[in-house]
Amino acid sequence: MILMEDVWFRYEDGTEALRGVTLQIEDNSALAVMGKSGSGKTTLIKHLNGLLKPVKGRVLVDGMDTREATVAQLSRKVGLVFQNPDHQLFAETVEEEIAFPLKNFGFPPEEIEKRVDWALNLLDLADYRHDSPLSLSGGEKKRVAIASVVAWKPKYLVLDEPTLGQDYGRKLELKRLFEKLRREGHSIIMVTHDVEFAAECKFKVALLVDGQILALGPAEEILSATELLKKASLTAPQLVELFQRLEVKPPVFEVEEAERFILKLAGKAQP
Amino acid sequence: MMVYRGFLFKKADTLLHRLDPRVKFAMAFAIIVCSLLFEELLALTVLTVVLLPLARLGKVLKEWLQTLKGLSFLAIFIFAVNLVFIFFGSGKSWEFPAAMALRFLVVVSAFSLFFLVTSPDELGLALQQSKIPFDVVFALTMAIRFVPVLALEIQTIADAQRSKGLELDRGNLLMRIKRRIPLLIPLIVSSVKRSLEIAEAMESRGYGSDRPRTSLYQLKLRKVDYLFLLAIVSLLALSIYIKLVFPPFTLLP
Repeated sequence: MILMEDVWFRYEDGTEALRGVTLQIEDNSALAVMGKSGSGKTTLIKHLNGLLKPVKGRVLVDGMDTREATVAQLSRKVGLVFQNPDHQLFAETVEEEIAFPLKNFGFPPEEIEKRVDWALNLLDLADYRHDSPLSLSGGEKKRVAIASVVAWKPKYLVLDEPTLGQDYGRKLELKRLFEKLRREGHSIIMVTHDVEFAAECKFKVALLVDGQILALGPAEEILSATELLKKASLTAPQLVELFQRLEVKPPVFEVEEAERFILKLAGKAQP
Repeated sequence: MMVYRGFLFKKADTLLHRLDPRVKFAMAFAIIVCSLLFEELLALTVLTVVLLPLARLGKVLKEWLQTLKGLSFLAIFIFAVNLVFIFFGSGKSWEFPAAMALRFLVVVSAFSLFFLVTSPDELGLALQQSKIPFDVVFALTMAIRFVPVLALEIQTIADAQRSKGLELDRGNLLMRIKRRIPLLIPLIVSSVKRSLEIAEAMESRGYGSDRPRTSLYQLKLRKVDYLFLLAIVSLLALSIYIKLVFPPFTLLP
């Protein structure tokens, strides 16, 4: 379990990025941190593996205070996937890119090989294993970045805008990946602007406004509260809007489910 | 990491800021030439001390001192190397290694002061009016403008790699250098990518299609500029005079 207790953070230039965040991330849970740019989302997740340390309050990762542990120690448990893959890809091949953190964490060679294979297949990258990560498309790079973190199977997987540059099909795959990892006991924490994706995944949603958590609750509840979303400069998912106009309660969140529902509705209307 | 701040323009309205950029450059240049003329500790101490009131005058003392602080590690390194090879090697006074470290500080901090009180626009204007082609001037001012962007980027890259278990501060010097490869490659790749993107964006907005451009502001030396120039020339003349007339001197008997 990760506990954030009244966490405050101020950058060197004086910006107050977090103003008293208290948050509990259970084992095997799924959380989406949402809010507009500059609301403190990225600052928040950088506290989870100790890249940033609170100026007030504390962060406990499985009972370990982040101020007393190194980033390397914490990262073994909390795997952070950064937003821009260009900021981390450097190896000559995709394979080596994925093996890099495994080497850093001191896995034995045969285990590294096994895990690289596993991660390559998991993210549908096996065809590119000998290619340079720099030659891939934006979406593929993003998947390499995710694979390189998933490979060491961190207990908590934290992703910053994982859907950036992914088409709908890839997003569905990402959703399935999250479900699979959760079945294996991992927790998923993602930062996202993508209300559609957060609704589809049905994660618990934390709305961040000006460095404070404005609301925390199930996706169904938060993402259909239009007034609340407005305060966080977000708009409700289109499906929610549609079903609110159709006056169907509660609104449907998944595209496939919505499709079935509408077909049924249309079927009924026929003479 | 924050050393670069000491090289970024800090907006203010002081005598130093209002000075002609060419005069400011001449000032930095003169101080550097003087520091290269002497290898005596006393002379170099005087030069460092001269910079102090100037930094105060420009209201950038805090930033300038930060530059010195950031450079102190390298200065100590230079002192140590010179101490080993000169002091123990040839039996010269310990003053020499100290002077070398100080000379390094003077050269870099003089530039730091120059950049702190000269806006990139002013610098570009000065270069342009010195008949340097606009393309060159533009590239130069752009490079200066992107320093903070790059610094921020290094920070993000370091964060990303540290999150993958990379420990930057472990092992001996060689190991530490090797551990920085995962930082350098993304930095170089993204810099090249960005420069290509900027070039494309500029071309698509018609850069270079116009006749040579003129500027709204024309630099003109004022009375105070001439006064400063006089002081700079006197400093140089005095230094050369001392250098030629007096034999090398030391603080120790």
